[in-house]
Amino acid sequence: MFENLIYGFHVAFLPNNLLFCAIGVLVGTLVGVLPGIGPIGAMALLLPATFKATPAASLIMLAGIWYGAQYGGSTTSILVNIPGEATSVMTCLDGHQMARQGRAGPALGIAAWGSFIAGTFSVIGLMLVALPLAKGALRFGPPEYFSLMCAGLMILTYLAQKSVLKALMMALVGLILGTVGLDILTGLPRFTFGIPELVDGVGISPMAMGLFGIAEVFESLERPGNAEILQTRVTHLYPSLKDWAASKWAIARGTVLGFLLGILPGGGAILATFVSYAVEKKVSKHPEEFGKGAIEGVAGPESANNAAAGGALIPLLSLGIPHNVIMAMLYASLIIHGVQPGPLLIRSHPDIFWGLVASMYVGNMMLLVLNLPLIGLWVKILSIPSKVLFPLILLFCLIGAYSINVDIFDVYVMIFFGIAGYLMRRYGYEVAPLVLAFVLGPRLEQALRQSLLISHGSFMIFITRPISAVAMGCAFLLLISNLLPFIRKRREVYEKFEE
Amino acid sequence: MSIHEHKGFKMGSAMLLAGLFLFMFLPGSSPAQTYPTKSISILVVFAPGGSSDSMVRVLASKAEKMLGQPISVENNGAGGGTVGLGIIARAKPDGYKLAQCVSIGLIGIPQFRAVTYTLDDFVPIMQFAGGETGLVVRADAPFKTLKEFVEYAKKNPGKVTYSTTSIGSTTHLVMEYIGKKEGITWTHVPFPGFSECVTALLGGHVTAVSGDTTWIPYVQDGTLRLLGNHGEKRMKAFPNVPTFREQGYDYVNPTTYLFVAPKGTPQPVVKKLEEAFHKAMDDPDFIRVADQLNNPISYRNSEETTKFLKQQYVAIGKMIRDFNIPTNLNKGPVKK
Repeated sequence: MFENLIYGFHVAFLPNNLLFCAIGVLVGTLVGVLPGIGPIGAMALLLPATFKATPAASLIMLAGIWYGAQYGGSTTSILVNIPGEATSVMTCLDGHQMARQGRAGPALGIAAWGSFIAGTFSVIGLMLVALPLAKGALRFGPPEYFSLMCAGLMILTYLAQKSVLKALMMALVGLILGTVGLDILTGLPRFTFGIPELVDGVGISPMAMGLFGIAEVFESLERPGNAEILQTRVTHLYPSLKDWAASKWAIARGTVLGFLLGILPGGGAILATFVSYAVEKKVSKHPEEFGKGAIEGVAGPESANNAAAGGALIPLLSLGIPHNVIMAMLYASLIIHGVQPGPLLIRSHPDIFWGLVASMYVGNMMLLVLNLPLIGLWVKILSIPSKVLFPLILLFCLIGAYSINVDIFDVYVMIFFGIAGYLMRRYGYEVAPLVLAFVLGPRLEQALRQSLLISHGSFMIFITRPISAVAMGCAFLLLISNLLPFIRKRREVYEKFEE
Repeated sequence: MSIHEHKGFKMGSAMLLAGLFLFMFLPGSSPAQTYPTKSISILVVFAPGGSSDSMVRVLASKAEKMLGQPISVENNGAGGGTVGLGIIARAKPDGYKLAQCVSIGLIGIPQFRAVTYTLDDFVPIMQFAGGETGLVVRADAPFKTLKEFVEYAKKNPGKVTYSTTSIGSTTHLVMEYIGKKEGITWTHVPFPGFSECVTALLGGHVTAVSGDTTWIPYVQDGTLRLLGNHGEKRMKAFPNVPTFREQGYDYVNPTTYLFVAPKGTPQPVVKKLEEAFHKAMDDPDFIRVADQLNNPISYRNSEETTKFLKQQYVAIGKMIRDFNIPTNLNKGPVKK
């Protein structure tokens, strides 16, 4: 193991690989900061540039873009309430509130440190348990996913800050929105109104940018005195000891959650950020502060999304199975260089596997060095008067949405959800449950229908398979534990009434 | 990209000027003869990183040397490629905007659901590869050959499950075809991608996968077994496994990789592109990438491709009717 790692560092520290790693994380940070322009586009553009490089160098760079983007994505979430990536949606909730209270520095700082710690530990995890975990993940078939997703949806109720009823309503809207697009079974479009772009469903990026960023801009128009400055006072530029004490367990929990959920295909990283936030809120001694600037609400999800970056590499590197577009891009870069990804990759190309693992330690270090000094600069952005800042945000969002597919349709989607998001804020409906249900909905439906096909229509499949049964049990317990206080409260009311 | 484009733009305008001079001094030379005078863009109608994208990027980098103009590769994978094909169907037919697609986008999808183009909206330029697919099962399964698999399915009606990417896909149609021919009822469990199908098979959640070559490393390491491929020839990597046709099932997967131009593109322009891409196919880099992806390199020129597509269009239409595949051709309020 250690000889392998030392060999990996030897590969990672080759000047050429070091340079590619630096380029990767720098580009990644930039595209992460810019809304809409995600790591996918950047990787596609840089893929041909790697034709001449070695396979290890090109994989190191492309992976760098990806985990670098997870760092960068938090910056805009915190500063201007726009999730740079879908995985930084949860960071908006408390991160931006912290910025409004003049605590943008600590928020950015804890996000960077949390990302660093989580990134490093997920690399260690990747190194130690890649193969057994990948094998274990194979035991997750459709019924197991369905039960797991059910448990995930139960977490919704913890996300609710104000009204549980309103949160459930928003979840339902999210589920309905998730049904737009191709029906998985028949391959035929549903609810697309004849619009070709909707065949792929509603895009998560324009939707999240609209619900958070554009809605924020619209809301700002309501506030009197357009010259208002977001930043009221700067207390600290970096997290204080008190912040650290509050965040350390959030970072640890976020890391474990992110790593484990990141292995699962499809939306694992996004789910990890939601679950992490919900868990932090649940274990917190002051859950009422969530949504009003609790640092744990930033530390947990930010750690989770970076740990997920390591987790998601597991199926690709140990099984040769790309679970999402980003992994497909890494897969393609290996193919182009004549390397066949698969179960034999680690043995037949140790330089690639161990070089990548070691380069991720190095890359995470670079990202920390790159991001900490930038905090001072980012915080200054907040001193731009809002009459200048908000039009700029609008402009960046428009460019970002357009650049996703070079299609004006995504801009319409973003504006639509901007208006919807504004109305939701105005009337106290929360955005997070909608986004979570939207992400989970299609997966949930797919797993349910596949399970029932396999079982010939019998629902018993969800309780006769052990992993599924455990997950279902958890979902049930989550539901009960949520309902109990509700019922107790009801009973108290009735008892008072009877008296 | 900006550097590349900038250079391309400069080179493009220089060539344009040169072209203009030529045009002034050589009466009778039409734009089609001087083509290309500026950069060409190819729209790959799949997401970046897929097998199409990887092959096209290599081909384009070789062809641009022969055409003397830069070729930019863009992606639009929306709507399973139908959005991109719609864009190219309505593009100016001057040879500067091409699409790279898979035959199914032209002859399969338009017969299932409403799209904004038809096969007749395009002039095929050439075909550069075929798509390899096959039927795989777990190596520890009780059947060793396709024949045994069919026997097993007959004896255990409803027990066999198999995965493809969707109803009506080429790999699903072949299973329907065998099912009908042999009188088998088996259960189709679709997954959104072949990697998910193979994952489900590895985990033992389905009995078989009818799909693209994602399974190759697993067949090589002995975890999965290939029962037969749907190609015209046996696979290079598995010369001992017979094709479906050899085993008595007359089905060859009609998936091919093509370049197409909008209808009305001048014939000399199509010829020039056909030639350049044909030559680019000889490049060792292309051969290596196609081999890695296990896409058999196979060439058809413009006329042959047109004929092939028309033939297969009819064949797929017949299968859709024979197997009662659900379709929805209701256009609805299509705006474009």
